[in-house]
Amino acid sequence: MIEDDSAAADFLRKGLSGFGYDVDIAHDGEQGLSKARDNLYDLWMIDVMLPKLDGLSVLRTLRDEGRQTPALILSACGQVDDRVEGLRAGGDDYIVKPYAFAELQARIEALMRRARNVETLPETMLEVADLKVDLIKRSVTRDGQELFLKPREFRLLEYLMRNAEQVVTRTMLLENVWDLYFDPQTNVVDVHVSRLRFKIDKYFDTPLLHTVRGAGYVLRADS
Amino acid sequence: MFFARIAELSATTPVRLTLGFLSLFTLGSLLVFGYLNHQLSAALRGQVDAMLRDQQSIFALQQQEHGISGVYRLIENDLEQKGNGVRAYRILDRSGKVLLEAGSPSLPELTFKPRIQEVRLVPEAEDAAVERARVLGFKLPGEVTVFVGVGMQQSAELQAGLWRAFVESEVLIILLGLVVGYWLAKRFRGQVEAFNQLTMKIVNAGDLSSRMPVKGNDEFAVLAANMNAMLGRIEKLVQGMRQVGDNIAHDIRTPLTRLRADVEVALQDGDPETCRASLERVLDEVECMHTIVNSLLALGQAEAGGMRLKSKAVDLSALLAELGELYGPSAEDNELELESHVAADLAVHGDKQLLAQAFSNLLDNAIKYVPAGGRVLLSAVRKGKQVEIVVEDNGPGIPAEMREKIFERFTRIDPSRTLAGSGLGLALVKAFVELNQGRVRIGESTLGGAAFHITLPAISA
Repeated sequence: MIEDDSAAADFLRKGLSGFGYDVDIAHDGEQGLSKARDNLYDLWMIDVMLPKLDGLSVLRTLRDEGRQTPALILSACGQVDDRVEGLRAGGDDYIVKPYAFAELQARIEALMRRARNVETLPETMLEVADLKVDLIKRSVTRDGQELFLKPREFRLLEYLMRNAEQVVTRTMLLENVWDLYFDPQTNVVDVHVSRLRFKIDKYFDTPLLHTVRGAGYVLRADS
Repeated sequence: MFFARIAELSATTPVRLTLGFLSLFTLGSLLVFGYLNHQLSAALRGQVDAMLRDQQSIFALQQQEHGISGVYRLIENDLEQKGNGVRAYRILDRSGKVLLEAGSPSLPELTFKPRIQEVRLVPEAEDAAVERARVLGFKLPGEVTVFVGVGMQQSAELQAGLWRAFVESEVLIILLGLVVGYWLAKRFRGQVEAFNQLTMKIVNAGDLSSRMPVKGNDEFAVLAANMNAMLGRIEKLVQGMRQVGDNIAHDIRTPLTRLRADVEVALQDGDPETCRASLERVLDEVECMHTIVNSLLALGQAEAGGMRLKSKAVDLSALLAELGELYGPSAEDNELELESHVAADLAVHGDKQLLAQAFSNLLDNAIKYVPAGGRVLLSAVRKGKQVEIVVEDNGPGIPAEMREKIFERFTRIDPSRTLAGSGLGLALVKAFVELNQGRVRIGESTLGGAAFHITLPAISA
């Protein structure tokens, strides 16, 4: 993690170590760049505004050197174009300060999982317990029974399945399923999720789609 | 006292201008006078010279008819006649003996030159003024040499008179200029002083309600009017900021109070379930404040022009269809009918995410404020060079007197602020639409409620 605010960095280190992550902290761009070059990390978290060398330059340099470690950009600005710029510099995801810790954790897990799956072939079949999604036939079955989903519900389910066992936040859903990058003032996303839940869980004994209060949702086999 | 005042005034612009102008004027008129004087003396000399040559021919004629005695008579006549000015004559015979010496003052020693020369006459008395004269020497038949001198006193007097007139009028003009300059400076100083007093009053007392009186239509009046307009704008901005500050305090205090209560409950009650419920509510309150702060930041950036737009072609039809689809289930859950009438192939040039947020805020509002059983209509059509997007409903509508104010920060129709909301949604709509070169206004919907019309410049899809 390259973060110049040492209080924020300590808080994040403590919070993340509670989930089994080992966090190394650099306090400025130059230090971060040399640490990232000298060590093998699973993930880089890079603040945009940094002393000595800004975060996007650090990331661009690392990418130009051919390093492929997934990178999560932390930014205090939060305008859409900053996001675009961050992703163009080689970021894999972007989160705006101040963020909820749950949001950060969800995004970190999604990035790590994506990195682990890079090697595998593109999936055509997604499975969580007895829920199966066929991406080619675009069909969904649970316990052998076919479920009929609207196109958007299908995309929502696909995203949840790809990130099964992990918390995904409302913002992540809005970004990945609708391609919208803001917080709606009403519970629009929740309404879509509850409709999906109605279709996949209502008539079956074990619920798969769970709400994580204060964070988002998780699709999981055991409750 | 008076001199101190003069010294003070002499630092003012009009005095400096007056002095500068007066010096320039004096220099210029001196040059003109010099030129005139030069021309005048040349003309006077020319006149005298012409007269001298006339004398030469008259004398020659007289001698031819009456001999040298005729010439003597002629000289006698000339000298007797008053008004001819000073004349002096000398006639010499072949050997250089003086035959006649006439006129007073008389000619000095002269050598014969066949042209006109300028000489000093010999004064009658020691202390008399020396007069200059032009002298022509010529020969008459019989080897007689004649010198005729004409005094230049008259022309000198003329020139002196001219100089006097010039100096007198110059002094008069300079005096007049100084008086007018002093008066202008006083007037100018008075007007500038009024501006200074007003600005110092504002600087010292922070009183933005004062205004400059506007008199006449000179540049001071224009300056005063502009300054008043500027003060009006500043006053409005400051009032707005004060209002916003109060509102922020109010809107942040409410969730803070609830937050505090939740934390206190959690601390008093050891039961883990209660603690957990309290903490979850705390999270909601924090989320609510977070939204307010984010919205304020976005508004600030949008209004100060600090937001860098990534504008490109936006498929508006697709975006509105997506939003309609996003909000459909939510409307249904609130027992609202959300209809979408979006024309095909509408496109605008703008920032998709900002536009999406603007439309989404309007849809959020409709869902929040339209009672169950109501209708919400999202429509978009092309109107000439514009695309018009309308979000309308059959809800309670917005009272006519609120329609201008509703786009300001923290304006809520419901003064008790019972429904959740930051009062920033519509301010964001306006800011984001305007950032995309669009306009937003409120009208009445044919459905019976409010209608928000957004127009954006269209591009061909």
